[in-house]
Formats: sequence, C-alpha cells, structure tokens
Amino acid sequence: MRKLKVIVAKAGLDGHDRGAKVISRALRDAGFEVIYTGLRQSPEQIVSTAIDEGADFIGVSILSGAHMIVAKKIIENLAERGAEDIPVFMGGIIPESDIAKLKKIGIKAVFGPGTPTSETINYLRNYYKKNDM
Amino acid sequence: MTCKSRIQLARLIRKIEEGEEFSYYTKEIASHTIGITGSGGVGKSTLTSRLIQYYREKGNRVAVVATDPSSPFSGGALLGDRIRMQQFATDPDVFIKSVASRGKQGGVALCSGAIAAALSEAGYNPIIIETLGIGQDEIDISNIVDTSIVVFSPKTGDQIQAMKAGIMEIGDIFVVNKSDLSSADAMVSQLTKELTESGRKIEIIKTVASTGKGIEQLAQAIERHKLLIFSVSRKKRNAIYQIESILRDRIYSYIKESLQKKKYWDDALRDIVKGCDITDILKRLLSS
Ligand code: B12
Ligand SMILES: Nc1nc2c(ncn2[C@@H]2O[C@H](COP(=O)(O)OP(=O)(O)OP(=O)(O)O)[C@@H](O)[C@H]2O)c(=O)[nH]1
Ligand SMILES: [Mg+2]
Repeated sequence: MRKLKVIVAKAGLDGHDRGAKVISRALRDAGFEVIYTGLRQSPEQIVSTAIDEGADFIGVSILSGAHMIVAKKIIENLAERGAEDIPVFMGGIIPESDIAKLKKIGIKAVFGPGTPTSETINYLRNYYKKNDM
Repeated sequence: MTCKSRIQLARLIRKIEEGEEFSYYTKEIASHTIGITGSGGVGKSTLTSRLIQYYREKGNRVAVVATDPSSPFSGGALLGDRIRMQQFATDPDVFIKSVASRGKQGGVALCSGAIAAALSEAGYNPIIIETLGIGQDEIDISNIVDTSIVVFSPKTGDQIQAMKAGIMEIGDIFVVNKSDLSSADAMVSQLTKELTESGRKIEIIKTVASTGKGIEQLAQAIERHKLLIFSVSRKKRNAIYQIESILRDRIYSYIKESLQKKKYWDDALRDIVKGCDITDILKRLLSS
C-alpha cells in the first residue's frame, strides 16, 4: 500500500497559516505524508512542488479572498504542465456562493472553518480509493 | 529536460520510494553526492538552500533529497525542509524531493541512495542529501554519499559529547553554522580539540547560512574533498549496505506480518510483558 502524499500550500500574500498547520498536523496524524510549502507561494511554485514530490493531492489554504484567482491559475498551470490528474482541494475562508464556481473550474472540494478534520481525511482516502490512483 | 520527462522522473522516484522499483538500489551514482547531517535546527536546510544557489550560479543542475522523521504512532510525516528551498521550486534545473524516514534509523530513508541514483541518471550533479536532525546516530549518510558534512551550531556545544561515538567519526567536513552567534569560536576550538584527540584531520568551516557568509569557503572545501576522492579511488556507495538495509526491512516486515496473522506476535509480546524468558519466546517464534 502506498502512503498518501499531500501538498499543503499557502498562496499569495495571505499570512494566515494557522489553518494550514492544523490541517497539516491532522493529516500527518492520520498517516499521510504532508509536504508543507510555507507562506507566499505562487501557483507555479505550488504546481512544481506537487509534480516533483509526486503528490497525490494539492491542498490550498486561503483566507485572503483571492481563492478564485489562485484556483484558476493552479488549475491552468497543472494543465499546461500535463499534470491535470493531480486533484486540488481548498480550505479557509471561502464564501458559500463561490464554492460552486470553484468546483466548476476544477477544484474537487472545499473545507471551510468548522469542518471536522476527520471529514477531510475521509474525503481524501475515499477519493484515492474511488479513482484507483 | 522537458516537462513530460520531469513528471516521469518524479513518478519513477515515487515508485522507488514506495518499494515498487528496486533496480536503482544497486545502480552506480556518477554524480558527486554530498550529505548534510547534524542535530535538529542547526541550519541544514538553510545551508542546503545556499549550496543550491552556489551550484546554480556555477551552472550546475542540482538535486536535493531531504529527510524528515515519520511519526512512530501514525506512520505519517510532516516534511518541512523544503520550506527553506522554495525559491528554487520553479527552477527547471533544480529538483527537490522530500522523503520520510518511515521507521528507519540512521538519519536517512531506505530509499535515499536509490533516489540519488535516479537523479544522477537524470543528469543532476551534485546531489545533496539532508538527513533528519534528531542528534543521535545519523551515520548512515556516510554509506550513501561521497562527501559528508556534519553541521554544528554554537548551541549544540553540550551535545558533542553525546555525538562523539557516531557522528564525529563520519564527517569529511565540519561546519559551524550560525557563527553570527557568540560562542561560535568556542565551538570551533572545542571541535578542533576533539579532532586532535582522535587524530583526525578535517576542515572546519564557519558559516552563517541565513546570510550566505562562508558558503564560498564551504563549497571550496567540498571541491577539495571531491578532487581527493575522485582522483585517488572514489569512495563507492556501499551497495552491500543498501541491499542489506532493504533486505532487513523486507524480511522484518514479512516475518512480523506472517506472525501477526497467526497471532504468535501478540502472544509473544504478552508473554514478554508477563516476564517470560525472551530466549525461550524467540525460539518459540522462530519454530512457528
Ligand atoms: C487569526 C486571524 C488573523 C491573525 C493570523 C495569525 C496566523 N499566523 O494565522 C492575524 C492577526 C495576523 C491576522 C491578520 C490579518 N487578517 Co485575519 N483573521 C484571523 C481570524 C480571526 C482567525 C483565522 C484563524 O486562524 N482561524 C483558525 C483556523 C484553524 O481556521 P481556518 O484557517 O479557517 O482553518 C480551518 C478551515 O478553514 C480549514 N482549512 C484551512 N485551510 C485549509 C487547507 C486545506 C487544504 C484544508 C483541507 C482545510 C483547510 O481547516 C481548518 C480547521 O478547521 C479570521 C477570522 C475567522 N473567523 O476566520 C480573520 C480573517 C481571516 N482576517 C482577515 C483580515 C482582513 C486580516 C488582515 C488583512 C487585517 C488587516 N487589515 O491587517 C490581516 C492580513 C494578514 C496577512 N498577511 O494575511 C479577514 C479576511 C477577510 C476576507 N477573506 O475577505 C478575516 C476573515 C476576518 C474578517 N471577518 O474580516 N488575522
Ligand atoms: N542566527 C542564525 N540562524 C540561522 C542560521 N542558519 C539557519 N538559521 C535559522 O535556524 C532555524 C533552523 O534552520 P533550518 O535550516 O530549518 O535547520 P535544519 O537543521 O534544517 O532543521 P531540521 O531539518 O528541523 O533538523 C531557522 O529559523 C533558520 O532561519 C544562521 O547561520 N544564523
Ligand atoms: Mg531541515
């Protein structure tokens, strides 16, 4: 059985890193191998990191309001580099009304404040199983 | 290298990591391999980042394999060395791979050497391997790399005593990082004394990884060591060590799993806790 590998990334100038650290630790404690990128990452850096690390998932934490732009750029960049098969999910402060829009451009799931970390963990495990990655 | 083949390289490395591809364990590494070891927080990753910068300015294509510990409870890991190297994430001539120790002792992952072999084949040279930093016996690195660098910081002073047995014996170059802090010179004298006592002749370089001070000198020391080993007889990667490690890992998992299936394992643990003789229990386990 493979270990599941997740990139947890903070994009742009958003300095809120508590949520990203909470989710990183929760995933580690659930047996995932988490690569945390640190703050102020460009979409290109996030995508390159995911490719080189052979990641199974990219998780982006955004509380700055820039989620639409960042999501779009990451999805575009993945496609440009032929890595569109790496699923992207998001967390942070994201208005309910934007979730459908995010999903439309290719974000697989959004986990806002108050989501129990077990929900995220189960989602990722099931996604991996379902898609037989 | 094109985008597509970079993805292929990353996928190959992932297969090596997951134990799905074994051929690289015994492959020669043509590239120069540099190990960076030392206690937690001494500045290994920051130093590695500076070395990447140095080699990029020289026009080299550089790769890094950075190790962090796996949690013994969950088996998961939080790999954070890369944070200090993220400015190179989009450089097409830099490849950074994070690996977890996955229960292996010794400071490097089981797969580190094999991953270095794949990176060497892909044309990266040098390849830098950062060990995890728990300040115990991270000495396996010397079985994998050509040039081992042991990093100290002024604060690691009291730890030297504890490390003497292992880590003091493996270094090809010693670095006293954080030499912007006072007592760096005291650290250098202490190391010099240790080295004199053990009769070893090793360069000690002072660096400030956070500003880049001393990196040029470190790189020159690395170059001198490289010329030495490449011109005389290159210290070969210990292939036997690699194979032994992986065999030990596989045999252990295999035996443990098959014993667990038949509950022998749990019974043995319970009996040991009860105070039964370990030798008797071992005999029982081996005959079952
Ligand atoms: C603490 C805080 C700060 C701290 C941040 C400390 C730090 N190092 O993180 C400080 C004081 C520095 C700060 C500063 C600012 N803040 Co502030 N801050 C908050 C606050 C109160 C709580 C955020 C927090 O830490 N929550 C706790 C964590 C655990 O929750 P979380 O991040 O939401 O994460 C959970 C989930 O979202 C999810 N999750 C998060 N990320 C991810 C990723 C993945 C992959 C997954 C699966 C899940 C996931 O899992 C977590 C656990 O459930 C929020 C308000 C709020 N109620 O959210 C405002 C808030 C985020 N801040 C805000 C603002 C405006 C700012 C400032 C611009 C203020 C200013 N004018 O200076 C600055 C910007 C700083 C910067 N450089 O970005 C706004 C953002 C508005 C917006 N998005 O439009 C908010 C929403 C407050 C508000 N209502 O106006 N802030
Ligand atoms: N003052 C000072 N701080 C430094 C220097 N080099 C690194 N640091 C800081 O030391 C801390 C640890 O640096 P890292 O490079 O992450 O250390 P590490 O040895 O890789 O740590 P682990 O991988 O966790 O064992 C960071 O906060 C760095 O900014 C230095 O030369 N001087
Ligand atoms: Mg480190």
